[in-house]
Amino acid sequence: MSLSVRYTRGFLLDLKRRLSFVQRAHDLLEMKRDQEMRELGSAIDRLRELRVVLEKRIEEVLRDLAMLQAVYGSQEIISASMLMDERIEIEVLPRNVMGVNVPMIKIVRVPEVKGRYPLHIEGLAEKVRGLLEDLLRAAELEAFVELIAEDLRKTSIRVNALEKVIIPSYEAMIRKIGEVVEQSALEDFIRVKLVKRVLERRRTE
Amino acid sequence: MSVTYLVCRVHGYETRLIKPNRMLELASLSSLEALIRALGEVDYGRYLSGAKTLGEVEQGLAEAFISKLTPLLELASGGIRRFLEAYLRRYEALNLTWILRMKAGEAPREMVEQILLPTWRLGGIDLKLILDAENIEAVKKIIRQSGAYKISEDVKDLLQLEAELWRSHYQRVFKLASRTKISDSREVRRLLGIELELSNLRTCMLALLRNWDPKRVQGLLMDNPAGTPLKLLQELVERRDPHIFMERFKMFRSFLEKAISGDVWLMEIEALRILKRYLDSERIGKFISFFYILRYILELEIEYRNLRAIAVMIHHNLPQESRRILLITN
Repeated sequence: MSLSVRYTRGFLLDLKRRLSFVQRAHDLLEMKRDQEMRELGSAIDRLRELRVVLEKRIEEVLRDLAMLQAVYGSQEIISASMLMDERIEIEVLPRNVMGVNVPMIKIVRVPEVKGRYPLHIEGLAEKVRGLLEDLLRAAELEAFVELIAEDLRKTSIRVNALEKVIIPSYEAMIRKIGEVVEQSALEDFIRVKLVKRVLERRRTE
Repeated sequence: MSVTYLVCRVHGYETRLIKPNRMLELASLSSLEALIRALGEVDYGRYLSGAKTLGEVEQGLAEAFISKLTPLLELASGGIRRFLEAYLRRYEALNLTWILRMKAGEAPREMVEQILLPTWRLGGIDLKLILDAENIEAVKKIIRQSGAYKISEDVKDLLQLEAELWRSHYQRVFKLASRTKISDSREVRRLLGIELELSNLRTCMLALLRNWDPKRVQGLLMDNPAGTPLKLLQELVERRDPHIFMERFKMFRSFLEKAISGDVWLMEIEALRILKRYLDSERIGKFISFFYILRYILELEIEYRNLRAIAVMIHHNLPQESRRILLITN
């Protein structure tokens, strides 16, 4: 913190105003940090739950795929996979969470699976489609966690800097300037008293 | 050459088939290299030498399978050869369904070529022409011009087109089965009938369970001259209740149950088991019978599918119990 220090009452008042502003900012940042921690905690919980479901689903899809491949051969799976000529359409929109822009995935269109695959493969295709939607949800949540965690780190650094460096230095400066100002006020007072006494003595002579 | 000679050769070929116990031993192997080594000891060695990946093993097994079918055509003559050619076109029909799907997905030619069974060795359509075709319409034109399959021009739905290919294939085989002078033609028709019945039932059951429109399902069913009439199947589908099928087709209950349990792949396994059981249960009094040729073809297909399944299961490191479920050994 570089400030050209002036040991004046006006500067002291200005410094006190600044300190109260910094303290308010600190309180706000502390609130933001707490809120971010809560958001992060709940997002991590949701992500953990989603991951368990996702892993189970992936396992199931891979098992079905392996079984179908074993029974019908790779040719059947490769050729059937070519039947899908549409793509899943998504839009990634920004969402503002406590000043952090996090991506929000909006699924615009999911290709219809029903009736497009041979009957013995349709079930697997439907499971894969469901899995893709879940993977997008997980990706959205992971990005959210990552961005909020990064912002939380920055906020924590700011809170700590305010708490441990800036506010104490302001307080120390205010204390020092206060002492100097008080000292100079006392000196002025004594000087005035002395002058007054000299003037009174001259008047009586 | 005479049918007698062909049947005798088939009896000889049968001895080369891998025994169920050996198949179970192969299924318990832990790596593709071990499988390739083990198969090298029997007559698969030359087809699998140099194979390293799953794709290469599958290709080698397909080569071996088709190579084992070709002598049957070389040894057959006259009506029997015509019937066998038509019957073996089932593998060509499989190739055509794969080509059609990949053409629809605009897959590159090399990718399509890689997955095909080498059916050109069994005669039939020149697949090179089909592979060079620009689009599905061009493929349909070539198939129509070959005269081997009857497919209507206005069919746009790919699944229906596949059904038309199979419908046309079975019509031809049934026609030749009744025209050709073959011994045990009753059993041959019955075998084809069961095969078609199972295929139709699978379509009906899965379509009902997946809530497909009955009208669309009707377009996928095939007329079965030796089984349940198409009209009756269509009526049953209209009723939209899979349990009616369970009641009506009690002899295929084990097959239909697999659809309800959701293990679709087991339907295919069960279908092959039913066919194998039928072939094993038919007691033919004489040593020389055409039926043995069809039995050998099916057993060869089962062996091919078992080995392919084992390779895939080893590749995916599936648990031993699952491996046994997917094998057709009885």
